[in-house]
Amino acid sequence: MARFLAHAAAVAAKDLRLEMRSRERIVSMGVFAVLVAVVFSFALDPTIRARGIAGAMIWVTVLFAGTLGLGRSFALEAEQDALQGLLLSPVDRGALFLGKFAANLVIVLGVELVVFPVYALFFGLDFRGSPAALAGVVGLATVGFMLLGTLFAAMSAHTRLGDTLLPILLLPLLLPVVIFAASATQRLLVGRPPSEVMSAVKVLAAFDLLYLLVCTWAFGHVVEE
Amino acid sequence: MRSHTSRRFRLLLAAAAALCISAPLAVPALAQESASAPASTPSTASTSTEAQPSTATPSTSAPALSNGLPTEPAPPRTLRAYWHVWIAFTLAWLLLFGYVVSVGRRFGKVERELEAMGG
Amino acid sequence: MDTEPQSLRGTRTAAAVLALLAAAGVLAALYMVFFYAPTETSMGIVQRIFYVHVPSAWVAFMAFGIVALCSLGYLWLRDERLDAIAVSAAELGTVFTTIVLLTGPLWGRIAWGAWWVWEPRLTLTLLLWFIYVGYFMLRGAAESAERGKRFAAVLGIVGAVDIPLIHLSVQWFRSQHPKPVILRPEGPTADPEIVQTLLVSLLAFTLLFFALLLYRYGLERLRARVEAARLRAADARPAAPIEGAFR
Repeated sequence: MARFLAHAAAVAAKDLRLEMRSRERIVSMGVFAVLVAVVFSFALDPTIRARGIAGAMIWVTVLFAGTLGLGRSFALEAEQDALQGLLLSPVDRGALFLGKFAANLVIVLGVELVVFPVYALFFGLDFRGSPAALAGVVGLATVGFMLLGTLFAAMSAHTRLGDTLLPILLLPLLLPVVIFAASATQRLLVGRPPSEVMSAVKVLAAFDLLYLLVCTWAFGHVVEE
Repeated sequence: MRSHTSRRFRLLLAAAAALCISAPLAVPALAQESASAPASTPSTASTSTEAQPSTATPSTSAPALSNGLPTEPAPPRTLRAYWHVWIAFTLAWLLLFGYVVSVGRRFGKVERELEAMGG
Repeated sequence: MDTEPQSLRGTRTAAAVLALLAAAGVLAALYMVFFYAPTETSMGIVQRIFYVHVPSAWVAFMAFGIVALCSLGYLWLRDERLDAIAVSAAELGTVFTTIVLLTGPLWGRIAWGAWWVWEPRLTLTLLLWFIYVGYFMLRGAAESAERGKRFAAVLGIVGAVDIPLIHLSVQWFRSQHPKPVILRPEGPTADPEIVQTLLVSLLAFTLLFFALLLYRYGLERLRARVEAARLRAADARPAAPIEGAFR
């Protein structure tokens, strides 16, 4: 088990080191997310109070930015056939998946650290009401997003359509995560007590566990050869 | 020989499609028949009045008739309901027959390929 | 992987027998829908749409169950026949889901006064349709046929795990919002004739589904035979490139 986790950590560290050097994914995702916020602020009618729909706007932004970045997460391996090397190394496929997932998670959480302050700044939102509950909701929803996202990014990287296919496959399956994440975020945003989102947190945690098992198992069948 | 069977098959399909599509056309005539004898469903009248407030949407002519009230149903709305039933059944059968035809065509293509290879 | 699909004749006979049974069932169902079942009291004539809507929905979801089970079997045993059943069921599931999505609004326009309502079952069916579409896009766009089968199988399994979650969360979402006025299809005054007609329609559609499934399965097997013959021909002429072998 320790070996398994060590391998996963090694894969994650490799991906994060690559990202630290180029910074191409986090920069493109962050810029894209901020641009979406800018577009929202002009696309929305000025009389609409953004506070009432900010939960939806934030999660739409995170989903689109995250999908954009996920498309690149296996692009390097697919382009230069580096996945063969990873598969030949004595790393379990599950550990490979968890490592990839962890790297994606860190990167998208980094983007979310940009998204939330930017939305707070642009739309005058206040997230300081219950930071722990908000962090829980955002963290758990992002874990679910990245579990499914990493699995489907591995598949779409090996298709002719590539990144075009990823959102088409991913968005319908992500609906459960989005529903609970957006509604819980919205409630915290308008100052409801954290106890009101506890049920959403529990459901998201249960979804994450299920996705973790299914996606880790399924990944083994995606990358074999 | 192959073309013979497929032609017969197509004829059969067309006949079945025509039958399925024309069947819902019998509905308006049928409903007029039942409308002329509104006493056919007196037992359900009480339950339908119970259901009436909870549904809250304007429904078609049937409840008024079953209540034994001589209210005239709005004709365009009822007629449209018949159209919707007809369109729904027609679309369903057309889709299914279209699918059968599409699989048949693909069959033909693969069989020609097989013959061309001499297998 | 099996070498040569030998049992095509048996498949065709079974498909023909099932097709005859299904035709009889559909004719009986049509007769019952239009001449036997009474017009439902609170909804009127549009309620008859349910006799095609509900069985299609049942078949569409059953098809996805078959896709998921056969996908699981395919990943485990790598038997091409299981993949052939899965892809056939997925195609039919797409057709029947389309029927559900077309007939539902036709009914809703009269009963609810709106073409589309974000009702949980309707939403679930729409997402099922998108998952089916994704299944075929993923399968078709994969770099090799073998990869396409594997990826589609993974999507079939993950989709089957996710569909209950979608249902759960959409229902939870609706419970947080004002509910649309729903006329329950199997409402308080379900006449025995209506229930009988619905049951016969369900049976007829199930038979129809399996007849079409076998029909489509035969096509997939024939394709496998052509592919095998082509590979043999390519083996005989080793220098020639294998054109179109990977679709």
